[in-house]
Amino acid sequence: MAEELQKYLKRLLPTVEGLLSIIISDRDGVQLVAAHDQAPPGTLRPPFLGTFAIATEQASKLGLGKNKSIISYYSGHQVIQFNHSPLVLTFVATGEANTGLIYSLEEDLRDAVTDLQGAVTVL
Amino acid sequence: MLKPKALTKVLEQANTGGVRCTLLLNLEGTLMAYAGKSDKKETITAAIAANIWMSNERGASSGQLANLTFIVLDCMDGKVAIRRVAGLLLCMYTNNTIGLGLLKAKADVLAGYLQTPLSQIASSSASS
Repeated sequence: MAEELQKYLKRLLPTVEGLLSIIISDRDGVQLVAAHDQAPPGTLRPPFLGTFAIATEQASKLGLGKNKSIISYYSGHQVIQFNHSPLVLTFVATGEANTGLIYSLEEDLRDAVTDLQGAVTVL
Repeated sequence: MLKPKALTKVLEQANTGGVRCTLLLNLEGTLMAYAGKSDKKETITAAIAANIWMSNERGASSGQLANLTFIVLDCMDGKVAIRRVAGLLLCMYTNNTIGLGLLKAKADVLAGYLQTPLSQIASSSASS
């Protein structure tokens, strides 16, 4: 399953100009499946990927219900992360990339991430 | 000097089209001014927003990403936008009717308007 998913991620990567990486990781930032092309190396590592878990937990306390996603804009990059607890779906792209198109990729990946959720969830 | 009432009126101008509350806070999470109403106490919203900003900034440095400028938190019942302005944070608390692009545009315009006066205050308090 993981190999097929990785192939699928690699096929999705060039569909949005400026998209540098697609990563599925756990709450601690450990990668499960990833595809990347010239993404900043630090964005592929657990210290970066793991910050989402803290942020999404805090964001869910704002009185607006459960947090679904966090979009962060930096000088030259943007990071879009989706909460599929216990998994995190992360997209890293250049600042000029189309945010809406990247956001819509989550729908394409939802079924695959749900299958992976079921595989890693301990009952 | 900063006129608190004038500042509140400026923040209130953003509270249209789905924006329920606009807050100005410092990086420690202390609320400086706000206009409108959020579901949580505004002081709590400010503290959480600042915490999320600082957490993302720390993550950015480990990810080798420079200059965090804007965060949008998309939740089930609304969105929160956080933007840096002159050493402070501008936070917009909205319902779900507002689009991401419009929310970002509003935050950018308001931050641009507040940048100069808030920078002057920041520089004068630093020099005193």
